[in-house]
Amino acid sequence: MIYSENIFICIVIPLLLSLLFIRREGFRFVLGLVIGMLVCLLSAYISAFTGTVSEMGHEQVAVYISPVVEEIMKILPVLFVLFIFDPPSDRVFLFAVAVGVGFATFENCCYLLSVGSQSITYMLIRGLAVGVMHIVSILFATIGLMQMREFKAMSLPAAFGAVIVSITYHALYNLLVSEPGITSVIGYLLPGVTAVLLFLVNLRLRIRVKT
Amino acid sequence: MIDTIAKLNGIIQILALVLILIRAFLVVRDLTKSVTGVFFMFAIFTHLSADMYYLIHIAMNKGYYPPFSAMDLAALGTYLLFGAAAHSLFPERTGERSETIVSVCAALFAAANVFLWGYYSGAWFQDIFSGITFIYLLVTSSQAVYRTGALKRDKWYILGSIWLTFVAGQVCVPILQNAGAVLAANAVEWLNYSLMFGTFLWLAAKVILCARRTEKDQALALSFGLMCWSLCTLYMCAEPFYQLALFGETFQLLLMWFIIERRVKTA
Repeated sequence: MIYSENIFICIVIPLLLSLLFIRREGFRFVLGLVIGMLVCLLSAYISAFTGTVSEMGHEQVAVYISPVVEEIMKILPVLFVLFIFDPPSDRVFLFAVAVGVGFATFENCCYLLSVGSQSITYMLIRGLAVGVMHIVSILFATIGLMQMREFKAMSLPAAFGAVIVSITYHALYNLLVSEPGITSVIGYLLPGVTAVLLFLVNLRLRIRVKT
Repeated sequence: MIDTIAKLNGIIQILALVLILIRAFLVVRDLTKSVTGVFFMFAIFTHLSADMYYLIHIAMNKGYYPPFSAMDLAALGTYLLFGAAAHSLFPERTGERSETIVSVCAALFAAANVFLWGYYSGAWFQDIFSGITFIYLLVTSSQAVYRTGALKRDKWYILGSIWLTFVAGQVCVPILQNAGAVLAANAVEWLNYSLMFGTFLWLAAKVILCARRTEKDQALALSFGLMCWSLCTLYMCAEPFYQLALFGETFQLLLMWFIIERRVKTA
């Protein structure tokens, strides 16, 4: 058993202190990191509570409950920033990426402490798969929300739909890696492949903006 | 046998959706110029994720999955995003009384479908929850069809009669079965299937005709209507007709993509 609250406090204190000395983009990114970590901690509480109430096992919670809880929790701070401050798109992207990175970092920290870090291969897989997946999934929802804002087509159904895209993607990953074998290999490759595709789409769209 | 066909059908739909996404990626710059295209891309991605989730779930022999798992949510997301895409076609109200009548009738028809899903599956809470999104999809699609003028007044009357007959037919089957009139129940069931697939073919033919006449907005609006009908058909079919309806849905998605692709290329 690990005490994730203690780990959270230990990691977050220097980050919070750094906020006193940095400004603008750096400030927003570090704040996003801290919020991402906090969201990860809260998601773990909610998932565990839901699992206990519904009498599900650890694996079932990871496959069915966690993706829904984690993605909703991750997008909430982004939605808050989007609706309250209405910042430009690049700032929203930066904040969303920071939340995703913070979430993945804290989750990886807790995972390392609970299972150990002896195998470099497994650590690489963990970093490249889960780390990337959390960023890609939050970017899916953020891109959807940004596009809606650009076209002035923001509505509750559309926003909910955009969040569901990231939930489904996350759930698919968790399902694939839940059992060893070929499915888990596909699962570990999925975030990397999607990240490359997302990058290419972004590149094509940026070219459009430039010309 | 049915299991093999079901898996094959699922793979065909996944391949069709992957094909659409690849094509969408190639024209992403044109596609993202319109909000309809953006919503469509997201909806297709969610649909693909849901299909893959379902197929992998079966392949991994995970067995039971709880209500409101990612697959159910993905279905809701698909309805919402397609609904938002249909709404974005013509978001302005015409203010005509007949538009309100069409919207109300569509909502009632969708609600009747939701009731029937709940009756047949027994999962009332889940069906009502997903039904709300289905009502949104059906209402926005009907409004899109109305606002583009894709159906003339007499065709609306025909469609209204079909909706009414569909609901009446579906309600009659369990009543007749409970009364012990098995032969009559079977006859009504066959009539229901004829109505469902007949209407699907009629709407598909109308979509293709509109697309060939280069009435792109009308064709697109009708393709949203066709999607709603294919969903009604899909959820009311038992095996092996379910597989036929699923194939129809794949065909409809491809048809919708071709219309959208032509629309964005000529915009």
